[in-house]
Amino acid sequence: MTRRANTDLLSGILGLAIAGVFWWGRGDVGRLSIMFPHALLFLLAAFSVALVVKGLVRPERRSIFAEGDRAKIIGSGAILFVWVLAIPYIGFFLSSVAGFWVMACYLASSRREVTPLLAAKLFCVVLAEVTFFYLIFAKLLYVPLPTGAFFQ
Amino acid sequence: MDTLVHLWSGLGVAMQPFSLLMMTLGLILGLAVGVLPGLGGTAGVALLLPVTVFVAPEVAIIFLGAIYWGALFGGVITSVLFAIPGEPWSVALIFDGYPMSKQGRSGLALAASFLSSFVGIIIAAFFFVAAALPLALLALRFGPPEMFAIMMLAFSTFVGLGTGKASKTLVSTAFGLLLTAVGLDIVTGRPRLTFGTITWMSGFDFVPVTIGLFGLGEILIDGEDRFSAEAREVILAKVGWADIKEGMREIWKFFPQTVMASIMGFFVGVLPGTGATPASFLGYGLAKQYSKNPEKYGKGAIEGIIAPQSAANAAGAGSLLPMITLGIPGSPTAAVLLAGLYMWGLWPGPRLFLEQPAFVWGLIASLFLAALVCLIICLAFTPMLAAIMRIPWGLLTPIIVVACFVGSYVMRNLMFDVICTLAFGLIGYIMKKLKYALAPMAVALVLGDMTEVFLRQSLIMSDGSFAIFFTRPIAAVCMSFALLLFAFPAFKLYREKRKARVSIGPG
Repeated sequence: MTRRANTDLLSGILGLAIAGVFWWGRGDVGRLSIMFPHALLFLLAAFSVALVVKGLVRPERRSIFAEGDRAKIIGSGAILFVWVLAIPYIGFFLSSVAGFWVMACYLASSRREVTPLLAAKLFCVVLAEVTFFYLIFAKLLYVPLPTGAFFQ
Repeated sequence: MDTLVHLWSGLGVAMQPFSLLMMTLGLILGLAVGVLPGLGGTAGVALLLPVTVFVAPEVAIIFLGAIYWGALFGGVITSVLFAIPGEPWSVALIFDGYPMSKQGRSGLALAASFLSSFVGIIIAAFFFVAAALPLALLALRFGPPEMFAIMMLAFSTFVGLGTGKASKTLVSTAFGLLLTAVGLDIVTGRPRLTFGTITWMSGFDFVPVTIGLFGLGEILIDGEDRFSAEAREVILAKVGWADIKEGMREIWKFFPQTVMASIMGFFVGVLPGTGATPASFLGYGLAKQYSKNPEKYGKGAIEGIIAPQSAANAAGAGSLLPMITLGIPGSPTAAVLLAGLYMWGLWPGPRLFLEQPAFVWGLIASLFLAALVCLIICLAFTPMLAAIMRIPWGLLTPIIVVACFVGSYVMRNLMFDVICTLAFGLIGYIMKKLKYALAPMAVALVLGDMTEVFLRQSLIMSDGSFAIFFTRPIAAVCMSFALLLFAFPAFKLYREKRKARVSIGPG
């Protein structure tokens, strides 16, 4: 199903929100230091207001979610978010294997039923992928990937 | 003569075994990136940029450049065989490439595409060699006001020549510039826009932000399409010797059009903010306009493949010229490459030609070599490259996401950068949904710090007067063009309204 929205209005609101957030966090600094950010904040706000006005005066509704399954996208985003949060605690290797196995099963479920055999196959592939990256970066290029509580 | 000597020494750098190995690896990765819809050349270069800290700059730039050439070539395969553009610049190839495949001429369509890509890069490389040194020497005359005016010109081209809405392009640019202002003030060292946190004092690094915007953001957008994608008619093909010979005959037949498209593509690529996509459409449009048989276009005309492909590849090479000579990227991918230059401690411009000849001429020579190697790989391994499309998306996504993570983490070993990538992936997704152009933001992220420095230096020189940008000849010319380009969308709107009023007539 296609979902349509007034993209100009939404874009303007987004721009104003960004300008507002940065205006609030600009800090107490000297005139010379803040001159450039101030100018940018004013310009950002002005262009965003122009978009809001355009969105209100001549609204154009465009499709923004073309036929896609948003629930799956939100689900994938949530898995990514949990994965990043878990990295400092259980390390890159374990969190990545677990996170991407769950994600691979989740994505596969949109096409077919995930049987235990398929889940086992996906686990092996994800394990191989993550191990490959881990070995290249941690052992070959000496990048100190987060180890978490299990590998210290 | 000097140029030829330099080029010869550059060939020596590019032909060293390790350089050749990295170039081939870059080309293969670039081809894979080009074949995969959703993961563009910019994302590919951004993802692998952090890896280059482990090799010498002259090898690093050859490797990253090869990824770009590979992506330029690779987008062809899916466009011609599956009518799925692997890259935005290969959309124009679908018009005639896919009909040719359906007619059973996919081998010829692919051979002609690869050969025209090769011709496009080679012609552009000759122009590159001829223009690089004079342009770099001209840049010697530039002071802070001139540099600031050129930066403004770069931003204005997105507004004046871009295809998106001007107001959204301006918001995108301002947002990118604002992000570069976060952290410690580059002149006084005082924190600003940090919300009182220590983490934000280091500012936003370009690499995690770009990986988020172009890598993760694209994955989310692509994922949405994949969930809803219907099975397409898949045409498999391999390129045979007969196809190559016929492709060469066709290119020879349309050689004037190929040369014209390549030259036009090169100059379009030189303009900041344009890149390969508009060049490919312009190439297609021009070829159709001047064709004796325009009615054949869209039904499998081979010249409808040759022109856009040679133009797109020439534009790709052209976009590197202002990057290396002036420090102004001609495309989002060039912006990422420019960020790489800064990361390796190199400063683009005339001094780069004097102090790092191996780097500059190695890159230029690699244009010729990479085009040749890529052509051979493409002609020999097309079926294998097309097979990448058959890897289940659920297995490909982890590879790309892990690459995004490691790419953003490896620069400073900070989890903050990983969170940045995730956050900017979401921002990139939302911005794409709201029809914002991401390229102006990427360029603003690279040029932001310098724009501010040049502005402040100029204002110090003039005791705070903005007149300095209009009293020095080069700065005045650039600034005037920039202002004209900024005003161009308003003028276009006014003209359209007037035309509409005239067509309705009085009453």
